[in-house]
Amino acid sequence: MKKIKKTVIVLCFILLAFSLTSYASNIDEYYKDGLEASGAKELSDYLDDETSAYLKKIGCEDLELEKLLDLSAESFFSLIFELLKKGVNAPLKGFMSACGTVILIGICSVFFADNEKNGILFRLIGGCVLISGIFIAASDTLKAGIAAMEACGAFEKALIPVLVGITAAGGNPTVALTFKGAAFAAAEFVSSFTRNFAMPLVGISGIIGMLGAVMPTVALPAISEMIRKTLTVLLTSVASLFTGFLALKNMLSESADRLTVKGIKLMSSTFIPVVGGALGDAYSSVMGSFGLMKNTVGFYAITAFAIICIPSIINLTLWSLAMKGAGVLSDMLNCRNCSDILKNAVFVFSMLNALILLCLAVFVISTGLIIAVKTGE
Amino acid sequence: MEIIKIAFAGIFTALIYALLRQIKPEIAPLTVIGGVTVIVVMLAEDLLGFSVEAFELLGLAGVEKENVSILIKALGICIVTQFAADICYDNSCSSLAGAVELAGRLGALSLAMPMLKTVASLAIGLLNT
Repeated sequence: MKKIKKTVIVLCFILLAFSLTSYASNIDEYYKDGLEASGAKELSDYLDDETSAYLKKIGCEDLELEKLLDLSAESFFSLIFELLKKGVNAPLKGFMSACGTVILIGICSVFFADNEKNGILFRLIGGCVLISGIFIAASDTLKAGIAAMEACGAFEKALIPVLVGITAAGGNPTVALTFKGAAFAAAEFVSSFTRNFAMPLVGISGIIGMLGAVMPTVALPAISEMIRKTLTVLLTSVASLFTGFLALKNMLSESADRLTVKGIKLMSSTFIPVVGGALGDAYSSVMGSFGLMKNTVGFYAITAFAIICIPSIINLTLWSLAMKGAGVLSDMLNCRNCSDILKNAVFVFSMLNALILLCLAVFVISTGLIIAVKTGE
Repeated sequence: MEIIKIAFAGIFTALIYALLRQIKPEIAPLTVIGGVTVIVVMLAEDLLGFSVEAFELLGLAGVEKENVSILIKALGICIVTQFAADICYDNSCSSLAGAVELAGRLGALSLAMPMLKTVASLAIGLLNT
């Protein structure tokens, strides 16, 4: 009898210990298998070498939870500082070049104080020199800015199926469906809006403004000003409408999914005898692992979006500041047409920066909203 | 700068012109042309020095040499055109002055044409990106 008792106790102990271990390893397996199956591991293939290198620098190269948890603000800020150091050269050269041209135009304009006809001609040539000097030097930054927006769009398109799969598997099929539609629409809209509408409009407005500055006899700045105001209002409205719409739709879908999950739990605890409640808890744990997976992917994606855009944002901000500085010098020398050209250059840089920020905000907010959805509750 | 010499040359030419206009009006404009030429030649060295300094300074600032050269050439064209047109106006030849000014403008614009092309291609590039 004693032997049987001992055997039963030992067996119970082994069973208890084994079941605890198997539970933990299952969750971990779910997490790893899910990450593999969702295609999240291939997300880094959609990033260019530079972004991958920057992600590696801050310790975010892999989709591993431990590494992501170890991310420090220090490494992030040191990367920003490094980018600042790397990006300051070209704008500084642009600033020096613009200042030199402005000083030369200012000095030479003295010769034409009494002769407006020759003065206009000289200012036209001087304006062309200034414009070409600025934009030849800044063309790489402008191209990089546009490329950053395109890279964000491409990454978002690769990210959507991954997040949708994880969210749907995590018990939020309605949210996944809503997100899929809205995020695809956003990615398409942002890329086509910036490429076909906003960017040409920024270019046209900048060119009109510069032409107006070079040829003061033609009243072009009014048109340029109108385009700018329209573009600013349009950008703000588009961003607010999209985020508001997505937030509201997500809220509704989340409530619908929560109701479904609660229904499943209630059914399992009511209709499955003895282990019904335990099954509900197990369901919650599995859903929790999906939530963890979704948050990890989301966090990685947001970091990647930021790293794609930050170099361009820094460069464009530095260019904008450089042109503002040269504009101050131009104002001091009373060189009005140079000031107008430089103001237009500032507008082009700032507007492109605003477009990148809009793009970043749309993708980060849409990803953030899907992260904020609670799974399996 | 030889400003005193230039000032004297200017005053001397003006006096000779005033004198000749009364004695031999047909050759009086020649003295003005001669005086202007002398002054411009005297200025040439300083203008050259200014352009060299400007090249060096703007080279330090990172401005393309080609751009500085276009600006200095445009300045030279505008100044020479202005002198020539003023002489024509002084001799009541406004149509001639107009032609000289037109030639000057065309010269300056043709000088700026490669730059205008660059600006246009930059603008198109900005629109097409």
